[in-house]
Amino acid sequence: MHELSLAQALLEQVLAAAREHGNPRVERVRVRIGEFAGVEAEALRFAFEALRDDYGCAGAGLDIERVLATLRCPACGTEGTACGDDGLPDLRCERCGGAAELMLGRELELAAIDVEER
Amino acid sequence: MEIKVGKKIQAANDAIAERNRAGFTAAGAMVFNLISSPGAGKTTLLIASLERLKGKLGCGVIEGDVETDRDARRLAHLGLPVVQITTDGACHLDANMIATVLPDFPLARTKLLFIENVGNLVCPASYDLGERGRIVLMSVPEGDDKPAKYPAALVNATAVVLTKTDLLPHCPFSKDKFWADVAGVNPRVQRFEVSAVSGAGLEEWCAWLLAQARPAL
Repeated sequence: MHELSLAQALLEQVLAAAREHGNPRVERVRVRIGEFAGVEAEALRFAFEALRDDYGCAGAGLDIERVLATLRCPACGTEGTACGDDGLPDLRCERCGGAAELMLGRELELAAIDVEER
Repeated sequence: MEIKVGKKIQAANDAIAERNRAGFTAAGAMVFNLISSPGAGKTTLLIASLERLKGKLGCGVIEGDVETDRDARRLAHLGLPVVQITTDGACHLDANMIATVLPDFPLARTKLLFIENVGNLVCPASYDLGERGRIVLMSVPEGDDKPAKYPAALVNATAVVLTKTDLLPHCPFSKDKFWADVAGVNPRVQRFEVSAVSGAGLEEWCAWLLAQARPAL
């Protein structure tokens, strides 16, 4: 389950960010996970909660913002979602049917941390 | 108090991947990351392909498995540089694992390098290894609904190879449905249909691989 190694990488980033600001207590961690990141949000949460104590983040909450895919067609400029008519993913332009580019939807990002005020 | 960070969780892996990538480019090596479920035929396809390609340009393989070096042993008769990485439980290769074996790999004489990832259609998709392209294998016995079920694996793919086509007469598999769903997720991906057992499609597949490596030659 790779969410475990992702949670480790996340917590290392959290610690690095906290260190830059004098090591305050971390209260919340906010991440953005794209629809096509290949990461299961609740598995990441489970792994985060299992590991946080080892990283000095006991009790820190995890907010997961799910980022829906946004497509942009290089041919006609149309923007849209990646949801096809039958609910399956569809990365073709909804207007001209050409191959669209994924502008949003692959994020795996530590957006921010909330720390204790001193 | 909020501290804005805005960093990729994978930043550490990605930095190593970029170093790997720079090393591959400097050596003129075209590197492919092979991804599939366990048993889709990665090693078998590699053997069949390398038997055809090895006389034409320098080839090499980095093998990734959770346990054993069986895949590396299956490739040994080819007389090519093959390195086995055993992950001891990790379900995917990461950039650091690749970086660790590169110093001992004869990259200077390798123009086409295959990294055979751990058999897994989910986790490897999240790890940039420094490859130039990703090749996803899906086999006929797995069923024609796999592209829709595993879009994250396909979104970044350079090529999709449908393997074990010799089994089509024995499996309820619709190629039209399969490729339609692939097109939905990745409209521009290169498509191949092969059977390592019968040899079907191998010529076209190897010609494409050679053409990919040519700019590196």
